[in-house]
Amino acid sequence: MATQRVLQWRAFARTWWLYDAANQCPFVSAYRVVPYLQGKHKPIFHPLSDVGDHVVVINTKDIAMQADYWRTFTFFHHTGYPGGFSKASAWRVHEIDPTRVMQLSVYSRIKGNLLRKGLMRRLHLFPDDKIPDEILENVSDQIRQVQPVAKRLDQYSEEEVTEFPKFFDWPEDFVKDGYKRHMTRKKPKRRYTV
Amino acid sequence: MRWSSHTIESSKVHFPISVERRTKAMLRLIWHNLRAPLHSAKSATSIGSPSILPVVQNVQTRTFSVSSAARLKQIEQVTDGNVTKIEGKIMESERAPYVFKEEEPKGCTLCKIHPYLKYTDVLILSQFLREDGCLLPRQVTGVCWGQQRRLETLVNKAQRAGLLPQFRPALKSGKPRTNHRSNYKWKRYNVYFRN
Repeated sequence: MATQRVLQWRAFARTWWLYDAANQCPFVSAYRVVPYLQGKHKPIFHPLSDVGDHVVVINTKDIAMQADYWRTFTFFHHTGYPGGFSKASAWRVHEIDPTRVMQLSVYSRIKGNLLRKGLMRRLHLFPDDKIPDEILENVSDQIRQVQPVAKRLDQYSEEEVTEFPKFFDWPEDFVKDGYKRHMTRKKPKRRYTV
Repeated sequence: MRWSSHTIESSKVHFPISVERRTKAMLRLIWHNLRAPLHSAKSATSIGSPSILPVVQNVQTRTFSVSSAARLKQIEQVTDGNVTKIEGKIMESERAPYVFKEEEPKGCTLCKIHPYLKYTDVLILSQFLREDGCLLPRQVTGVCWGQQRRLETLVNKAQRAGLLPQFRPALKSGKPRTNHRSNYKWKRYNVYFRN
């Protein structure tokens, strides 16, 4: 049985969590990650008690956005000075800095009080799974992924694909490559030049 | 409704314009026929039926049915002195041998087995695609129209999420494709859909 001193250290220790953001939505991931930064997963939680943990997010370059959001979702920024407004689509921001989208989603998820900057300092973002050794040594636990990752068809084995039950059999006179006959263009395409 | 070719001898009614007067005339006729004793109560039509109505000259009636012909009746009226017999005889239809019939009623396999597909069910969706990435016609797959439309949206989603890399049209140059995903601007990055 450990002494009270050790139990005290264990209760108030700051743990380092790992989160794999590959094929996960950044906004839903932020919803999942922020409580760990705040310390809401602990029974000793109080916002002013500074009981939040570190979170290391890896593979931020592989995050997935919903449907058209890479193209349509815009991030806005204003420097505060006149003419200081700027905006950029999500894909442009991601192109420039692959960790920025994840960072912004977590930042906007936390409440805009004086504690926010402190929490953001405890968030460590990496585009790949290459983490410095000093940080990797501290990591002790992992946060579960938010979304199921869909499997591509080429990731299934050939046996699985062939043995999977089929919904219909080919009809008698059906030619599989018959559509190619109609797709060929015999005459060259006429181009009008002015 | 079939109009009988026989006229009722007792009265000839010219159809008046208003509905009220028309209904009154009908009731008068029915009452007339009630007073004369009706023989053969079994095969006679019911008293309130429209077959008792007289023939109207300028009305065109057509029987129209695309489905199989059901019970066909012909109304016959016979008068023997004081007795009028109005009979609805069940006849055989002349079109019975020519009616369209399905030998084996085929149902939609998707509706029976797996009606609620997701865009991630790639093993199932790939069965309904040709090498191009286009959907196969319904005559081949035996799928109902509603499911075909559903397949269209699901396949579109699966392709945009990059889950069907083999089912893409061939390049114009004829060379094989190297990347499983396009490198154009936003198409480089991962996409997911909510079911």
